Amino acid sequence: MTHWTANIDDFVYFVQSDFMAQIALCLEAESTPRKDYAHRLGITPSRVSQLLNDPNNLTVRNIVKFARGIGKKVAIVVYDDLDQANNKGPLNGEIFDRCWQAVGQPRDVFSIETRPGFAAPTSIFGIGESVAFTITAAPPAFVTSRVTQEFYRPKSRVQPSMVHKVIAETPMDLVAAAAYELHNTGTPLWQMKKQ
Amino acid sequence: MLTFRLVPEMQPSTARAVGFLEGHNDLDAGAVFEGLSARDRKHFLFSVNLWVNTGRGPHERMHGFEKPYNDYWAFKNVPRGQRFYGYLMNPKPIWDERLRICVLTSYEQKKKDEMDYGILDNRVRPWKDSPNAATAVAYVFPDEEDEEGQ
Repeated sequence: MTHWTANIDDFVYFVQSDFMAQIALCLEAESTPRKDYAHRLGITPSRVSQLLNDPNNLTVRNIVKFARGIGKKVAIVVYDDLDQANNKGPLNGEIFDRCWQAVGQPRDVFSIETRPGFAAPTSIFGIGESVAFTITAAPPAFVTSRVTQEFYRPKSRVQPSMVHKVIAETPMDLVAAAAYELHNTGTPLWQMKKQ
Repeated sequence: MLTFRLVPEMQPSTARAVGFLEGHNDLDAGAVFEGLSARDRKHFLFSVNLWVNTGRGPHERMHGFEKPYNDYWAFKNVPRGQRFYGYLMNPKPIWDERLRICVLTSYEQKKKDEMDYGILDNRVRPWKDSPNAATAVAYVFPDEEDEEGQ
């Protein structure tokens, strides 16, 4: 199936709209009037509304300026979601932000690697050995990728063969995020039993 | 016969999906969507995509309603005066407690951003309460084990 962002222009539209939606949600969360935000940016309130509804030709400079206007920062992230044909469309920026929050807001990659649980996936999940999982609770909101898609089966069991397949195909940072949660919460996401 | 059709060119997430209920003259949301200009279509698709993947979005693009209308939902394009109305439900309460879908039924062209609850009462609620509509949705989202047999 072709996703509606199949061509570059529509993909750009998605990225721009996603950025402006994040700005709009921040303004709503902080109850910041549009006119105050517009004043900070040095543009008119109608221009703010226009951009929020129909972003077009946003420059990186303006993206940074709009984020800094609410005290936030921006990163442009290149990622591989194993969907080279773009059948699933782009990911929303909020997903990356939530993952970053969930692993403790690291400021460098070295502090990610030294976090408890990060290196755990292979030992916890036991690639190559038979492991069964019983779902005991819904995963947290940040586990929103294949890990959730494949592991979250309410009132059901995940078969070992599928676990191994998923782990082999899942980006390690996402597996690590799930494992980190497993290590650092009182209630484990999944009860595991080696077979 | 009523049918439920997922919004095209988009995949549901693990917890959200949006589609059109069709098959009756009063159910115009799907037909209007197909006639949208390319620009308006992208606006709508992005809004739906945002809700499907994050469960929320700016009020200018979408919103729910206060009780007793808290099971209704609207996707909006304010500058263009476009409103797509529908209702929220979980078609798989036994097998997927987290799933929530938006069944879009009705379209309104509005000049002012003021809510007319008559639209929800008269044009959406009949479908929300319709057993035939529930059957149409269940055809796409049966409340049973998924294909992996978990």
